[in-house]
Amino acid sequence: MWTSSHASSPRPRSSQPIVLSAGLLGLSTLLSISAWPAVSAAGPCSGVPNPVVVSGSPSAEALVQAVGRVLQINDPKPLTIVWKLDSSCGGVESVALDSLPGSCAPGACITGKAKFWTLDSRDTAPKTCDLDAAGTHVDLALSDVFPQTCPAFSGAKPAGILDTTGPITPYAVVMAKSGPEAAIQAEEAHFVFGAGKAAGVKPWLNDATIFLLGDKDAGQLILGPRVKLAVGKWHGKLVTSSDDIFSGLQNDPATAIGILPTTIADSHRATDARVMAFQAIGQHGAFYPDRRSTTFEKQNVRDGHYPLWGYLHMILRADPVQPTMPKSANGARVASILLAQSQVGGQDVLPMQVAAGFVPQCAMHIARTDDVSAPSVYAPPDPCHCWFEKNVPNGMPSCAACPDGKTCAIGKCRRNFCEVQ
Amino acid sequence: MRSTFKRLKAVVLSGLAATALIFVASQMTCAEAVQDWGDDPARRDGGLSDADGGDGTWHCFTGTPTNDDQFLNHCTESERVDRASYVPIGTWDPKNPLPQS
Repeated sequence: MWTSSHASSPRPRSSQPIVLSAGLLGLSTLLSISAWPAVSAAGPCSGVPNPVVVSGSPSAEALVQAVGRVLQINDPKPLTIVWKLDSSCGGVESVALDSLPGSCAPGACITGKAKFWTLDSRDTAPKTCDLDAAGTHVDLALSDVFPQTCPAFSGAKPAGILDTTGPITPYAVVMAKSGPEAAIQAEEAHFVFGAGKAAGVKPWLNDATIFLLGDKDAGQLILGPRVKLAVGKWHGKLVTSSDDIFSGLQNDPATAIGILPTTIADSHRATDARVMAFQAIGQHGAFYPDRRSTTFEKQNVRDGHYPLWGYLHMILRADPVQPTMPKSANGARVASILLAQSQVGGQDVLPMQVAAGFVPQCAMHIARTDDVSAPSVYAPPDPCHCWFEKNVPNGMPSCAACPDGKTCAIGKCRRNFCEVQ
Repeated sequence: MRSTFKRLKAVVLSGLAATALIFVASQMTCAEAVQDWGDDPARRDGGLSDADGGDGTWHCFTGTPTNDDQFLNHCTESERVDRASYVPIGTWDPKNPLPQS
């Protein structure tokens, strides 16, 4: 009998140890940043040492934080990442609409407060700084959808930007851990998120507990085509953060529902949230992002059984003189690090991607060219399926190890595992 | 008279054989069209659902997937959650396609 386990037995996500050993290299910067005011008394973001302004999806915050701290503390060329949390498409717009030299075009740039992480490893919480009231240019935007998916661009890729796809961000419909449902069908989601209580789909009968993050949120933009719900047709209570959704789930666990990246939701599975299985239109049964409700290896994302995911896109403004080159060298450098194409502080970034809940492209069996079309079979040039499974909780590495880095009876030794190719 | 009967019998038998051959050939064509869709023996649940065609077996795709349907329904060892839709019939008749909103 097909059953779903309501009482999952999640384990906390394993944290990849990121060695942070502060050295003399950044001592002067450490002293200046350690003296930065706390949240209640912010200074200007332009005053932090070597700032690089990054904005975008909440899904990426943990990765940005991990990279940002190493980039300051251990890297020979330290930068301070100034991080502005936004929606995926808010981030894309801040770069794509930034077409004026010097000043900020309407919709471009960012204002308000931003976060940055200090050099002091005792500072576990970020500090805040004030962005320029007239607008601060964004060096790098992070989005979980293709730029052309964003409502502002109506299906056409905006001009003047460089878009590079990074690791995969799975998304999930979530309920409270004690909630009554383990799965949702696309047809149900269509009516729940499109009509709310009026649709009469049990148990989602409370308009005040159907939580939405807005039309620029990647969760809605990824789920929308899968449930035939267009931008502007969503029905629910608009909230501003994933924290709002988690508190809402606890206030009414019987009916509350939302959409979140699993890079955030997975860390709540042990305590207060349930990642639901999703049944796409035409699919025979619902599937979790993972092989089981209790695992974290995103098997069904990786092989095409679970369609709710997007690439983490690095969006850079192109140089107007050399359109194939990025305008911001610092933004391009941070993008290269987040993509794991460059090391940070002498460290490989792929383990940081995995620790932050992403699926590296080298662990994927499928690929996409946009957010709507069917995937295609994908064979990564440097596969890391076994290494990935080894580095997530409850993973099932099916390959032999090659601790010497080269000897495999079958396959090729990659990251100390014998991959098929 | 006897030879005429024999000839008639031969014609009838030949016709029957030809009909049988055509029938078998047509069934082989159908089989080829669905050859990559099989039953996952590990997935027998003994129950009935709309998804499994009523025979208690999940019909999954075994070939190399090239479209959404084949990726979504490819045979897998992953946990599958089988549940009935809770959309009231007054809201939407599942015999109709989902309205695009």
